[in-house]
Amino acid sequence: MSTVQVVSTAEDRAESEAFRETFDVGDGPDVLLVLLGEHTYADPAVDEAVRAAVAAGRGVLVTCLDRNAQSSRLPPLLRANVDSGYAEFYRRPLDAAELRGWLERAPARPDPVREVADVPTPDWMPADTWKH
Amino acid sequence: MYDVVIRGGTIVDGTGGPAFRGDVGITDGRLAAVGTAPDSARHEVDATGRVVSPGFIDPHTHYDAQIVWDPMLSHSPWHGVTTVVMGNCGIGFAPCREADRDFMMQLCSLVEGIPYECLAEGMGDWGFETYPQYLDFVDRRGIAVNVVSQLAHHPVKVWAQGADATDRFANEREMRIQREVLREALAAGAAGFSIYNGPGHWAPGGKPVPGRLTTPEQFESLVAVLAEAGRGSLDLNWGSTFNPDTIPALWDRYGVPFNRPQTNSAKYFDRNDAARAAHRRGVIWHPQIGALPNSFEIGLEDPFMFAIDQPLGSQRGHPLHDLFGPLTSMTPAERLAEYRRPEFRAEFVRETDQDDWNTRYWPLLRVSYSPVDRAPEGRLLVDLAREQGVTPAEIMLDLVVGSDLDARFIIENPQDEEYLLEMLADDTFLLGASDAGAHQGQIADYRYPTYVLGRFVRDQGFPLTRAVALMTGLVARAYGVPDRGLLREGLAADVVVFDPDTVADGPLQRVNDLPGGARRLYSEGLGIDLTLVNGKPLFESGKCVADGEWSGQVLREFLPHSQRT
Repeated sequence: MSTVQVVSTAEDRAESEAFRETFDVGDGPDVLLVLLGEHTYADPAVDEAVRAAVAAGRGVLVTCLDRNAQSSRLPPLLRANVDSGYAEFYRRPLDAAELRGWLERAPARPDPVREVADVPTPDWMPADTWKH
Repeated sequence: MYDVVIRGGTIVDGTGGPAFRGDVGITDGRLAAVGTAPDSARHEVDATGRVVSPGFIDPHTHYDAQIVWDPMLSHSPWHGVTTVVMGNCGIGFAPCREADRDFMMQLCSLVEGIPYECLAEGMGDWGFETYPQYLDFVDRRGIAVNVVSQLAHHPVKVWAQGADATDRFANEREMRIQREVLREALAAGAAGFSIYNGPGHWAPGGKPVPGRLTTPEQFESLVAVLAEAGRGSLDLNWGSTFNPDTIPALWDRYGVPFNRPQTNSAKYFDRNDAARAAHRRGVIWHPQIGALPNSFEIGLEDPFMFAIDQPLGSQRGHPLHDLFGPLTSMTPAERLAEYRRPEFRAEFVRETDQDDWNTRYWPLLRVSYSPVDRAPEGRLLVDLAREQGVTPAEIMLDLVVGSDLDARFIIENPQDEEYLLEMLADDTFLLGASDAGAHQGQIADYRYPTYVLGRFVRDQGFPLTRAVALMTGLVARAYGVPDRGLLREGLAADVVVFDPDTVADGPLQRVNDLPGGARRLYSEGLGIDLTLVNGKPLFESGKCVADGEWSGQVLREFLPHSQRT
């Protein structure tokens, strides 16, 4: 099984600790697991950890701290790597076995994005002419 | 010579303007004359003392599966409905690969309360895979009424991601597929796109429905496709990252009209006020209101309400889903055997003898149908439990097991009708939210046109012309349907003739006539003399006269955003 480096924001410390205990998350360097809370989007430390993981060719996996979370925002580099398919962004797991399965399927993938400047403009960006 | 002429009726034309006496002439499925119709006709109808109005348009139905086995889309047409809007709430069946069919049926069963065995038997071999194929399939098989179909998001996400759709958010490659499917659907004739992003819907296995795993950026990228196409409405039920300000902001950026989310008179003052304010500054956004009280009849024959953990919600995780979820794929006989097991009984009692049930739900539940012993009918479960010194859960199980699953119970939520009628006078809101085709064992809100005309118009004096506009012209406008909803020369001849003195929804009956023997609530529409769909009689004096010659159509042309008001 992959070992796991966990990153979460300081504001979510209590939830992160509870998550680690609930889902039996150990420590290790193989996969970066981002525990996504309400404040993660604005935390530069998360993207720093992602940048290091991508540089080292390690898998990246994101999951939600809140079981009712949906549509959570991601910091830019993490967002870009989810979009590219290098990282995978999961809902909150149902149990420890499900999380283990995800971690085992999270080796390094093709198409890493090392910097957000590398990301092309999405094809859906709005144009003024679409306004009515 | 007209094909049909309706003479001497009170014409309520769907605009909300004054009613007037006159005639309506119909030729080749179109309104050839409104007001004065001097020519003779092959079929003459005397409408003296009757109201002549456009056929009703139900903006919120879930007939997406039923249309495969039931061209009548029963029972909406019984109540004067001549056009239905489908594909709501992110629930649909196209696109869908064969390997994903079972999942989509399970999802629909959990979200919309249509029993899985009913879907499995009724859908048969399906007969389509892509969304354009689905529309063509519906066209080929024939339908009694017109269909406005929206592309639903859940199947699109499953199409792009397969089984991962309920596990993770899409990556960009998968989003490109979603956007391409949406473009293809709009080109094929979709009226818009529906997405469910709220916390209340769950997929098999206690996972979120696919649409919930969508980021705001991804959602926005789909809205942009509608803007790029310059057509199509968005049906949105929002989750935690959307709020009443989201829709006006998206409107400012993309100019896409919004229908929904559902609202009502009790809980959603914030969204109602936001929608009113947005409407005043020109945002096309119409939250929908249901006309009938929000009451559900439930039973354990089909344990839908318990399998989705409603009305319990998520305060204690998913105890009832864990208990009832596995039962949803069982046969009724297997379910009955489960309810007889002492272990099941003990677990059900334990999970529902809790504060949330004892304070919020058990006090609302009454026995509505007890075929073996009628005495408990109409009584609250908590009162029966107190008298017998047991829990309400035990009363429920005893009645269910003693009646071989037939006993039914009703949760009654009273309606603030004064506030509701105030909302109906405001052009911001759309009358709809019937959920026709869904929850058929629990509700019968498809009957809302006759309910509104009887209870609100006749009994309470709500203006007839306004009520008709709310069920016709205003709905057509909200969805950009160009040639329906009004009685005007040249438009499609969807027409209803009814008696304003007797029109009403009939009493509820329980019938087991869905595929697989599944139960539903049936209500006849009373006081409707004639229903025409595209100029052809569908119902006369309460009897279907189409005899397999269906005149409904899949509507595929909608007004571009630049012409929407």
